[in-house]
Amino acid sequence: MKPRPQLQTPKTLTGRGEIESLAIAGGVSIAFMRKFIKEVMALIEEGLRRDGVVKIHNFGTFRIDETPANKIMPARASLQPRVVFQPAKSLRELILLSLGPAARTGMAISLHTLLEKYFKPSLPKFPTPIAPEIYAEEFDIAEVLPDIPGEPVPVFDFAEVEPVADIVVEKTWEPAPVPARGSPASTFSLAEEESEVETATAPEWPRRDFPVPPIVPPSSRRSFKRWAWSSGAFAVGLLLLLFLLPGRIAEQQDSPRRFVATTTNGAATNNARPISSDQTKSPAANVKPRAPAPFFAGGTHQVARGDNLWGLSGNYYHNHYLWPNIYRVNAATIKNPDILEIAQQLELPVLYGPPQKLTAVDRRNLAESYLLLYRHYKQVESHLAPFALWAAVQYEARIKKDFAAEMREDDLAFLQAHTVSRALAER
Amino acid sequence: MTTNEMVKTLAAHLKITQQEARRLLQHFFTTISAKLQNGETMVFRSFGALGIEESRPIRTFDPATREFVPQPSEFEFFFRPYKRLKEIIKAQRLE
Repeated sequence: MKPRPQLQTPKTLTGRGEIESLAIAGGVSIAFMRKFIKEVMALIEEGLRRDGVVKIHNFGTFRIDETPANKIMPARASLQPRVVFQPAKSLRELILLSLGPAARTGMAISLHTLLEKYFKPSLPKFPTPIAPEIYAEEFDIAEVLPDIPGEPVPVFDFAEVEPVADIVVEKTWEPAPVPARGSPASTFSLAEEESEVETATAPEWPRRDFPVPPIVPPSSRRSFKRWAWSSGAFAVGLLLLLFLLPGRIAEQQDSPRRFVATTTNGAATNNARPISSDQTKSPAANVKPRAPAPFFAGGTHQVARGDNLWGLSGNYYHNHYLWPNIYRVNAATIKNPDILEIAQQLELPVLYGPPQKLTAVDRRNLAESYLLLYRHYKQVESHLAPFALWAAVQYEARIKKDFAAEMREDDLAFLQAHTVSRALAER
Repeated sequence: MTTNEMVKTLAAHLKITQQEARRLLQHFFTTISAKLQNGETMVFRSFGALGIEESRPIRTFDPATREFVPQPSEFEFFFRPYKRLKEIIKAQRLE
């Protein structure tokens, strides 16, 4: 085995010894070899100057590289052209085999494959090693056979059987044991290898035919089918987009903003304003500006298990604090706003503005709703009465004057204490 | 410049046959590659130095397993041209 050589100090080819050995091996004089090397160097120079590339078969390529050496900071890198040597594939493989990881791990195959690949001698191939796991499969026959009561399990003794002479194979050749890395036995020379190869005979190891998965050829028919299906689906999708999308956009542009009150029993009530007959007849009628669509166009709701006014308000008005609005409209049927009856039909009043920007009508309605609530709380003597009054005044300040006669003194005092003047709030 | 061109020029300059020139060229570069295989650095006077460098082994981080994986060193070819060759190429570029 060839040990991995250490990188050595540079050697000059112009040295006398080097050129001498070259000349002897080449069968020419030393002076001629010197001249020859000079000529070769001059030719490479000329090639670099003329073409920028010198290609040498089975050795490599010298080329001028003008890309900056530092790709990360090209401004700092020198923009001078560099001469780069790019080894040929064969040379790279040779070097990797002799210096690379294969040489490090001490693989015996490196030199063999090298010789086989590049020098092509008639060397016998190494026998393919048979996996030892195949022979390691041992099982107990008692485990395999079913238990039959009364009858003992037959035990087969292999020792009793006489070996058949035809089957016995004598090993005439064994691969040399791989020596440990760094051991003195790992030194290897070409002469040893050759002698070993001559004496060795090709072994006749039992061959095992493992099932090889069949190579599936690329079926053009299947791929065509797949292509046809995918392209067809794509075309259909494109057509659908082309036909449906413009109509959808136009529909959205034409229709006013709609809010649909969904009921718990599944029915949806569409309270969008119906298109008037003259609108459908003449498009000119559409020119006059419409009134802005209400935030919530009203509807009905059938009470289901778990419903309450707070939740309904949150669902329909997007604000829980507007729940007295529903209570106001349904005051005749709702005795206690905290309790709703299942399957009760509730009317949902219209909300013109969004909760963040209520209209005057909305504010008035909400003030009345909270006043109604105040009356209810006052009647049942709830501690929430002053809070309802306070909310009513927040929505409409005039309530305080208009309905002053109804209010209790304590509630008025509460209102006085909790009313923040506008000047104070701004400050 | 290719091998064939080199062979033809060498044969003309050194007054030898193309066959002989090809054989010598092949012999020359085979010797160089054999020396490179031993890890030697070849230095040609007034031309350059050709050799192999061994990069130092590094360790890389594998985010999938969150472990550091040691990477073995690699061999890289280098060619360092001498000053004369550098100047020739620089002059050629300026022209």
